[in-house]
Amino acid sequence: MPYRLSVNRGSLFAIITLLLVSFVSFNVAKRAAADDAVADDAAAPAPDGAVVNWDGVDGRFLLTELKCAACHTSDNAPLSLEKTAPILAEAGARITPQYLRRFLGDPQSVKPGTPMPDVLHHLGQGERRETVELLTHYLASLGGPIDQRVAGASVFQIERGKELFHRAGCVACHEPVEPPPPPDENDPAAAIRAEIRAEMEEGRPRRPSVPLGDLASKTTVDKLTEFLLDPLHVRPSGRMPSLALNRGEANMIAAYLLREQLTDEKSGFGAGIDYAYYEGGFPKMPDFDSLKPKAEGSAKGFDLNEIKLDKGKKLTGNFAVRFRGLIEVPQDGMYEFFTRSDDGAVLHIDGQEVLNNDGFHPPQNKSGKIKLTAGRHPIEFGFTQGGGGFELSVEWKPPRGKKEKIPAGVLLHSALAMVPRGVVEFQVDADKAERGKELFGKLGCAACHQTDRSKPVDSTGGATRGLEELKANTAEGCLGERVAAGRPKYLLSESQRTALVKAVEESKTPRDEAPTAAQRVAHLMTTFNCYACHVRDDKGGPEARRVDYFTTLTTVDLGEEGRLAPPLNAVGAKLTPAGFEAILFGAARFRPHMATRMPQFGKANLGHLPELLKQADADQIPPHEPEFSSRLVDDGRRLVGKQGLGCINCHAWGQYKLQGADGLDLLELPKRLETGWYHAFLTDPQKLKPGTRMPTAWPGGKSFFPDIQGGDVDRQMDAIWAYLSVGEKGGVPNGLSPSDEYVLVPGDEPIVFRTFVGGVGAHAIGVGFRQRTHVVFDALRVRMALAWTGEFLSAKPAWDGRAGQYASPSGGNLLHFAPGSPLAVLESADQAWPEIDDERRSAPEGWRFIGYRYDKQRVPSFVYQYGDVAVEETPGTEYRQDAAVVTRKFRFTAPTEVENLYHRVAVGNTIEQDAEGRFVVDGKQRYRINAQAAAKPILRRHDDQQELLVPVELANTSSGRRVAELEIELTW
Amino acid sequence: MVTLPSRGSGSHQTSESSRSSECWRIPRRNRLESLAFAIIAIVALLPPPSAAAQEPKPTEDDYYRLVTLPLPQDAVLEVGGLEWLDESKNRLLICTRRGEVWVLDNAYADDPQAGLHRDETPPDGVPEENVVRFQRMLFGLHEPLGMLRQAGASYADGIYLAQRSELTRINDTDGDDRIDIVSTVCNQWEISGSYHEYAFGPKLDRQGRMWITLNRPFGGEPEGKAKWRGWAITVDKRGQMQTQCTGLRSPAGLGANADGDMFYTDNQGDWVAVCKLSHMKPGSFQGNPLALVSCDDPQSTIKHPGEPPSGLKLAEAAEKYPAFMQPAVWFPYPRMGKSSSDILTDDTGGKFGPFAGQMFVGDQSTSIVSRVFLEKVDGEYQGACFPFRERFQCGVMRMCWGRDGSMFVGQTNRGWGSAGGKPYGLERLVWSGETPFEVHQMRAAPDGFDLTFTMPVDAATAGDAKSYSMKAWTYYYHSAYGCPPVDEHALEVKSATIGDDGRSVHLVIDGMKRGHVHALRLDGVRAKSGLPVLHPEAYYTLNRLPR
Repeated sequence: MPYRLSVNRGSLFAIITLLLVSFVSFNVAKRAAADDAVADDAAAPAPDGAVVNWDGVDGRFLLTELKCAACHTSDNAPLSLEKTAPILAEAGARITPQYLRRFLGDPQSVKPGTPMPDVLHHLGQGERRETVELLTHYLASLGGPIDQRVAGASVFQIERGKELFHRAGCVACHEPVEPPPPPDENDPAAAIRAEIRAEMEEGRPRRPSVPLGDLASKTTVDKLTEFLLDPLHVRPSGRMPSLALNRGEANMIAAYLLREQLTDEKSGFGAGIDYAYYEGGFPKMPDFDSLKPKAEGSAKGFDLNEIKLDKGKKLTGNFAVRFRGLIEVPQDGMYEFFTRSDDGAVLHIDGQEVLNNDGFHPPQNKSGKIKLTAGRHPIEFGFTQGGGGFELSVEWKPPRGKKEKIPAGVLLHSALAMVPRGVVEFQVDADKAERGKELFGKLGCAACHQTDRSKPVDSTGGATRGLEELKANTAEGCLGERVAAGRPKYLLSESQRTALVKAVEESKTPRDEAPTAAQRVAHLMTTFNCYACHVRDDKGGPEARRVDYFTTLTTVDLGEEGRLAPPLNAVGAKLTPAGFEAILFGAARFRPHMATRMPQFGKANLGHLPELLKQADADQIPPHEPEFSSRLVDDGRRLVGKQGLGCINCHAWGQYKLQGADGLDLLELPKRLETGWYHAFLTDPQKLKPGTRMPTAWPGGKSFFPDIQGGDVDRQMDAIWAYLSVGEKGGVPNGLSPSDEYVLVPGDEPIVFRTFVGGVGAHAIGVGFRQRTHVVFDALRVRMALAWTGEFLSAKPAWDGRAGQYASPSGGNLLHFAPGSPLAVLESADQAWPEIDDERRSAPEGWRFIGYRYDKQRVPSFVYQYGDVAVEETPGTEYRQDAAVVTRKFRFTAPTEVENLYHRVAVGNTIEQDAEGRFVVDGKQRYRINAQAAAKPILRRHDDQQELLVPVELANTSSGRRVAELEIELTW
Repeated sequence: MVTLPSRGSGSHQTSESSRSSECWRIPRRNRLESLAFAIIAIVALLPPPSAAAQEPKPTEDDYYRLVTLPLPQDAVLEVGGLEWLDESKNRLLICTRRGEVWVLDNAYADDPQAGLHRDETPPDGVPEENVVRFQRMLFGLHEPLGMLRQAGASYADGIYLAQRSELTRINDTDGDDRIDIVSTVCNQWEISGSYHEYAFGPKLDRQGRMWITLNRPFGGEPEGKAKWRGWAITVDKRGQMQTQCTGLRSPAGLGANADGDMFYTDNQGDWVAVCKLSHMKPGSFQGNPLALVSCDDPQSTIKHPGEPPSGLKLAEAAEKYPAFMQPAVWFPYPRMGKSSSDILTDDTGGKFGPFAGQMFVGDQSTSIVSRVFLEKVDGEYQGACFPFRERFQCGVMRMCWGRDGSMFVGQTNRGWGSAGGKPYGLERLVWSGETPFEVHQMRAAPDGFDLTFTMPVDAATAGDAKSYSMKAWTYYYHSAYGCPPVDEHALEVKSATIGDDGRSVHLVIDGMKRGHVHALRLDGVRAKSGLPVLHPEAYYTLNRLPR
């Protein structure tokens, strides 16, 4: 019986128990919490010191995070990392003057926990106010003052923002506002786990949260959105990472964080209409409520141009849009609406269908009428686009009015006015700004804050005594009881003060040895608060009071493994450089079910982390070099499929997955994982990842499949790796199927399929190989036309309904073979290659298609005739880890000698030979030519193009016929 | 997903045996017609014949029973062509619209209970003799809609079939029931890539040429831009194409009559009033002018006949535009079909019943098979069609004769729905050996019609003019889609005279008209045995009046 990964109820309990045990060994969150239910607390107590990172009471980190080095240089603090204070270059454009005044006057009470020191503590009240005013004018002059006009946000935006804030990972560092979602009722172990966590944290102080300060008076929705989209722009040190939000998400979180800005004036409706944008092909207006929008926002009217997508993306492809809001009509009467749309358009008012022009069609006019009473009515307008161009215009004709565009203000949406708190009239006074600028330097602000992106921080304004020379615990020093004038006064807890004193003292002794890679990793993980989510070497993991904010986006049967960040033990031996790159800097989401996202700290900050991890974890896992062969690929496919180990019962394979199979995408594995780790993990999953649901597929080191690779466990693991390493070309594993039921999936035998193929014509013959590399032969023009990888052809155009439609290669990597006929007799070396007329509906002159024959493996050979030369051409492919391959084997036969016969291999802008003797066309396709020695490939230039030709040298055979053979291998 | 090779897991469909023993039904027809016929029938039946009225009326099932062949679960048998792999007709070949070629063993199973792949084990209790075995010989052709083994040729010589783009020969060189060689025999007709560009055939004429009819395109490219669309062509042994007829519209069926003359069926639409059966006289123009653009090609054997005038009644068209080849038989719509398909001439020598030499014509939409009797008048074919068998499970597309004289009927409803509720399938129509009481032949006479019956007639009823009734109507020859009956009127049956053989009747009809369909009802007629006529109706297309 095949061994399967599926889990029954009984083993579920076993796994849960295992998970519990494993949590002990995880040593989750050694920090404690006096209580673990944030719900019961109205607000977290104000921190009694600066909130910096995981180790907020470690002096070495405090030195960095408080930017002591801005004034006190040191040669003995090799662990310290550069930290940059927020860049104030555009401060005025994003921070309100009212906030600047308050914050500068008393940073630590306006934003308790801020590492920003008070540099005005020595001033009397009047002088202090005056200084703050000048600084405010100066900072406001930097790109400001900010536009504080009314911004709008709908209630639904704020609701979604709340959800995102609590689920996407913000609350790992910031204080949650809402209680966590209740534990899963179906998870009997949830309560036990909570108990264990609470126990482990008992007696330890609650971890402070990074303060947000009075955001509602500080900035606007738009500016906060910009900030959230790219926090590193303002705060390059990465302590506030990016969560790779799209614009809509950033906007929603911003609206939520600024929810106090909501005005309750009027009814809360403003001009405009909400839209939601959906991607996908919708031949009919979809049930929008069941879909997840890709973008949301608001527009002034039913205008597709106003739809904003991520990264400035343009509307393209197939999509649908739902506009929703209210329509306010001035008087009772009959209102007529007119649309011109390509494609579908459906309008509802008061829930009644007013007009319906659904479906795909060219631009069409449609109108509809409805009787409305004066006042507001819910309006909903759906638009779909599928194929070709799109357009939409909507007009109306009110009673006794004329047909016109719906005027602004008629359409309302539930946008609520959001205004920064405490708005003041403010004009930058140039004189004050100038004086503020002087003070900014004099007071030492400029030692930390950049105000001009083109100029580095100017630290000359601060003190310059080296760290080693300091007497840390003088009464009037920065760490003293009474900080002297001109010195920054930090908000420090007693323990922080002690720790800093200790660190300063320690810095006076030169370090004997450089820190190890492991120490440096731990230092980085502390600095960037990685430990807030991840466990590594028994350190870190979410606090008990925060752990339940880690959730899944869908119901996933993976337990805590599905919702919590993975442990990072031995991760340096686990991930490949490409894997690190993707997860650290590419915002890859290998665990799409996980609501929490991997923050992006920036390459400038963590670019060296992968290498450090590799060094730190170098000897943790023994290396293993899997073998590779075509046979292993095929065996691997068998093992992965449902009749094998059934990996697909839990794991996705590229775009294919079974319902509820939420395990990681198998096709990502070879890109992400080091082979040593892969081998060790498969050998004993629990050892590397205690508590994982990944079972041992070879219990007791024995295989269930003695007939595969002789039952050798290591070789079977290699087979799976070989199969996964060729990617989609390995072929869909048994048990998974494409969503288009008509897609033809080659099995052991290739599929030969004649149909209409777009770009080829009505005489196309497709050949699909299980290696997911396919070709199309054009039987009319008698030439190999296309090659591509991925999905073979869908039979839907040929089999559905009246059919007779054109199929298009549905995979990727589409390649067109050299145009024209494959053979020509050229009288001279500069004779142009003959062209063929694509409009012609019969074979080119001199050419005849004869048919194809199958060999025993059911691989077809195309047979055709060029003059006296009979050609048999056999397409083929093979598994290759690095590229797609198509081979074309030719056999030419003629009764007599044919002189000056050439095969044209390729045409391109540039053709060069690489070190292996392959011809590289336009830097992309590589051709290896295997022919008789006499047939030397010829590179020639013609009409700004280069051509690669091979002479066909027919040789005598005993039968009297002349024969030549040629094999061309194309990789691309 | 379609994976090759793949197959069902041994499940099977139970045989849906003949739907017999239901009480007599009025054949389906439109309500007005029903009403009209019902009134006529009531009049004709008064007073009722004494004995027969008490007996249950015989049904089609009593004479021709349907055997449904069960299919493997994964066989989407949208039949495009039927042929025998061997001369002795033991192994049935089927090509499908999905481009597969199957070979069936034990297709003659009397009570087939399972259709299985060759290596599948029958379900418990199903003996092998009740299992039809399927083997897929080939995959990936482009909607082949006909199949032919050259007469006398062996399996090794190859099977011909018309794909959308070419005439193809397939060979299984090693006899392992898988095709090894797919050869292009002729691809000289053009195709633009419209869904409607089907190619039907091939069928053999008496000279051994292969005939193919080419559907015309709809939409997409400008209609008719590709050459030879709407033509009938032949392909000789060297693979060369000859053009034969033009003006075809949607010629889904073709075939030779007993004399080897070629006929085709066309589907109602532009320039085709209702479905029809027409003689493919070489050089003829069958009426749809879209095809005429190709007349300018040097390969054309037909001179452009001039654009046809639109809106003439048939008799008028015959005079003013004689180039138009009047069909031998119109199939009144919808009673006699809505989508004519295959043509099959009865060469069973009586194994299929009393209709040797006559033609059977299928209909895709109404899932029926009709019967056609043709005669020549003034050297041109014309004749009558009769209902023959209805209630196939699905649209009838292809027919062929089994070795025992049973008729295999291949079916599909894809793209154009059909009566019966099944998407595709295969049935076998088996004669019980009992002769049904039917009009056997219907010939035009200068003053009426000569009928012969399949058995001796009851003198009292068959000799009574009141047992008969007749109507006639014509159609327009026009560019519009289809045509309702025009100038419909009743004709008086003046007398009915029984011939010396006791099974023929001469009817004298008042006012017969050229260019009209003459619809005869025989509700009052009884056989000598007392049986009523199984299908008491006939539709004669009177292009010419015999002199």
